[in-house]
Order: sequence, then C-alpha cells, then structure tokens
Amino acid sequence: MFNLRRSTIRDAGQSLRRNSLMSLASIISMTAALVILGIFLVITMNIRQVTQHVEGNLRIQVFMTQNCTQQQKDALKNYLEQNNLIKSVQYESKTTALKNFSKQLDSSSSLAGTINSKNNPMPESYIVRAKNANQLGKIKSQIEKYNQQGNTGIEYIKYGRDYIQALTNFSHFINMFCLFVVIVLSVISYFLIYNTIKLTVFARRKEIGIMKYVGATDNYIRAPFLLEGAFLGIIAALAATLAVRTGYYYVLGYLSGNALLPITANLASPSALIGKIVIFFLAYGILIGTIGSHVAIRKFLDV
Amino acid sequence: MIEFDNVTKTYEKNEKDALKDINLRIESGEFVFLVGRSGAGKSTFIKLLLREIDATKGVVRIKGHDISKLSKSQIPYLRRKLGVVFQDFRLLENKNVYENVAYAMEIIGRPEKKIRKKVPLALSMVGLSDRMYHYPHELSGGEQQRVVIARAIINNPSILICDEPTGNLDPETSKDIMRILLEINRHGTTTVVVTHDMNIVRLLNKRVLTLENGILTGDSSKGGIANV
Ligand SMILES: Nc1ncnc2c1ncn2[C@@H]1O[C@H](COP(=O)(O)OP(=O)(O)OP(=O)(O)O)[C@@H](O)[C@H]1O
Ligand SMILES: [Mg+2]
Repeated sequence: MFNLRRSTIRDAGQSLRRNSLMSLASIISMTAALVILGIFLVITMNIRQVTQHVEGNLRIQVFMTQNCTQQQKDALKNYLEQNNLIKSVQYESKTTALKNFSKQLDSSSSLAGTINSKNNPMPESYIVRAKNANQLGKIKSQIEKYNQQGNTGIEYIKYGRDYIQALTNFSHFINMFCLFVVIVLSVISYFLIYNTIKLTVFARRKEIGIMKYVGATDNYIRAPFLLEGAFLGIIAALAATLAVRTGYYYVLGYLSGNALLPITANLASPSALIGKIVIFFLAYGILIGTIGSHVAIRKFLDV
Repeated sequence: MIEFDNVTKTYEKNEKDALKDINLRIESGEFVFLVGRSGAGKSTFIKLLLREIDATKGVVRIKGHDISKLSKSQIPYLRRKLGVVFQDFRLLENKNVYENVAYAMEIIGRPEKKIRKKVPLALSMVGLSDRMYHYPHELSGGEQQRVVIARAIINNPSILICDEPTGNLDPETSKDIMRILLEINRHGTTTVVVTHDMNIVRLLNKRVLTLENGILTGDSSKGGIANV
C-alpha cells in the first residue's frame, strides 16, 4: 500500500519540517500518553507476574482417610486425571508428608523425635493444580460431588479460596482500569495526530489538487501523509520507551536498596519488560499515527 | 474522441440546470473553442470531462468509453489521458520550473531517467529552456502559464483541456499562449479551449461551441458563431 519512492519520503520530511512546532506538540502529547500507558503496563505486567507466581502455587489438596484402600486411591486418581480443567495431579505419600511436615518443625522440637515411619499420623493426599486458577472453585465442587457417591476414601478437601478470590478480583480491577486508561489516552493521541496531519494536509491542499488533476492515485497522494503520521508515532514510541525504561530502573534500584521490601525478586526483569513495551509502543504509535492521518486526508481526496 | 449524449448536469443546490441536453462530438485531433458568458456552464463541461462531477443525465464518452462506468480507483488513469490548464496557474510555489513539470511525471511513477530527458524537451517546446531553475514568483504570468502547459502535456495526454488559459494575460501574451496550444494540437493532441476572448476566437478560425445558460446554442462546424 505504501508507494515508497524517494519523493514520498522527501515530501513527508518537508512537511514535518514545515510544521515542526505542531509535529513537536503532537509527539510530546503522544509521548506523555504512552508514558502513562507504560506505567500502567509495568504495573499490570508485574501484577500478572506476581499472580502467576501465586497461581502456580494455588492448589487443592485432597486428603485420604488413614484406612483407605488402593482401589479407592486408584479410582480417585483416575477421576481427577480425566477432568480437563485440571493441569496436574500429584500423589503425596505418608512419608513425603511427614518429611515436609518435619522440615517445618524445629529439629530440636520434642515432637520430631517421637514421630517415625511406624506411627506416622500424616495422611496420604493428592495435590491438584488447575489449568486456570479461576476454576479451582469449580474443581473443588466437582470433587465434592464425587465424594457424595460415598465410599471414596476422602477425608477432607483443602482449598484456600478467599485468598485467591481477592487476588483475582484485584488483578481484574487493575486490568479494567488499565483498559479504560488505554482507551482514553488512545482517543487523545488519535485526535492530536489527526489534527497535526490535517494541518499539513491543509497546507498542501493545492498540491493535492494538482496531484489529482495530473492523475496521481489516492494511495500515492496518501503515502507521504501516512508516513508522516507513522513517523510521529514512532518518535513518540521511542521517547516513551526511553522514559519508561529509565523510570523503571530508577524504581527498581530504589526498591532493591530498601531491605524492607524483598519483593524485587518476583518483579519482571527490566530487559524483558522493556522489550515487550517497545514493541507494543511502536505498534501502537504506528497504528494511531496512520489511522489518524488516513482519516485526516480522506476528505481532501474527494476532488 | 469526446462525445456528449443528452448530457444534463444539475447541481444539488440549484433548480436550474448548469448544462441541459448537450449533444456533441469532438473528433480526435480537433481544436475546439468553447465560449459563453459567465455562468453558462463552461467549467461544468470541463469538470464532467475530468469526472470531477458526474452527469445528472446522459452519457459522457472519451475514446468511446462511458466514463461514468469508471470506478473511483480508475479515475486517476482517465486523468492521465487528459492534460489540464487553468486560468489561475496552479503551480507549486516551493518548486522551481523544472520540478513543477517533473512532478507530474513523478506522480505517475515515471523513472527518474525518463524525467530528466523529457522535462527539458517540454520546456523548450513552450520556450522556457532558459527559466528551468526559476521559481514561479520569479516568472511573469505568461511564463507561468507556459509552465502549466508544459506540465499538462508532459505525460502525452490524448486531450488537452484549457479553462480560460489566457484569462489573466495581456493580448500579446495571450497570442503567444495560443500559438503554443496550436503547436501542441498540430502534433495530434485533441485540444479544447474555454475562453472569453472573442478576438482570439475570430483570429484563429477554428471550431467554436457556444453555451448559453447551459444550452449548446452554437456550433460553428454546423454553421456560424453565435454572438456572445
Ligand atoms: N459546485 C457547484 N454547486 C452549485 N452550483 C454550481 C457549482 N458549480 C457551478 N455552479 C453553477 O452552475 C452554473 C454554471 O457554472 P460554471 O462554473 O460551469 O460556469 P462558467 O461558464 O464556467 O462561468 P465562468 O465563465 O464565470 O467561469 C452557474 O450558475 C454556477 O452558479
Ligand atoms: Mg468557469
């Protein structure tokens, strides 16, 4: 669609120079919009990272009775493995459970000494992880239903539900808020670009008229304006990336220098995050820039 | 080359037809004057040819093709067959003479090498070889109009359309411009010239179409020029 000949690039460049003030204004505004967008993106990405980390540890643990049979265990395992909401089913034997339990106890504790494999009171269990943490509740009620058949050998189903719910609600809220901010800022950026390009189109309307009379195609006439819009978007995207990157490094430096906040280990690594953001910003800048130009010039092409 | 079949144009805002039941044929290689008072519909005629506007009724044919059938994306290719010259010169102020003419070739994707060869030829044809690097504001009105003519013919159009090409020029300069148009016509380009300048029309003894209030009232090829 781009007819990228030398004259196209030259025209786009000329026009940028001619309207340098307006171009600068729209770059600055779009950069500001993208920086705010970037801040929210950084926060969302980090929340997602943290929730993913937590979600990865979210599980239902199905404890068996002390005198359950091998048949009951096989039946339950079979049942769980057939459920396609479930990501994995992991068996925890009495011995492993005891080992894990002992680890949590002080070795000098008197209890540790009195328990051994002979009188191990820990139950066997199945640890169930969901493909999607939102569905853990559903999985739990399915297992409960299964248990209602009776004679299943299940003692107790453990699931830390409220905690998960709060976390998913919070990340939902953040996502919705982000979406809202993205939409508002996109509209603002769009109109800024639109107006900049409209000015340059207006300044060159005579030229557009001549082009039409000489038989230039609409795409040919449009190309330098689209290029100009895309260029504004790209400059804004790069400036915003630089700003967000600098800011993020600064914040990370501050947080890791603060011993009270041992959370930095779980935060997204700057390079991975900036890599994602720069691509997103560029796509966003180019898209908003070209759409804005496209609409700005449409009216002037009807000759 | 050009055919109007019962062509009527009514602008949306107007009750009166700008052109009414026009029937005419202009053959390939002809030189035709189109005369008429202000508001008679001369520019409307030209806009129909360029498909800047569509006929309300009737058919406009160029080289036998009904141009109303062209899709929007085909219109540029129609216009490449038509060279246009306007009264107000419509040159780009920030481009010099050479660039203004070369521009018309760039726009339709002609290679740089061809452009460098052809632009000086066209400029010598209109007698502007020594003004190539002047900017429009450094030229007289007649010279500017000659640049426009060079630009109009640079892509070898089949038809050259001029809407009052001498409207802003003194009589002597107008004659120079007419001489250039005749020269272009002599090379085979069908030429339609809209003008108010009856002196020139009488002088040249070419076919004259007369419009009055949107009606074609005279065609000298069918006998006599109506008084305007
Ligand atoms: N875009 C338009 N919308 C409405 N009416 C129009 C439009 N263009 C022209 N007209 C009307 O159509 C009629 C013919 O106009 P046109 O421009 O063809 O006249 P003309 O012969 O070229 O006149 P002139 O010698 O002054 O250039 C006029 O009455 C004019 O007011
Ligand atoms: Mg007119």
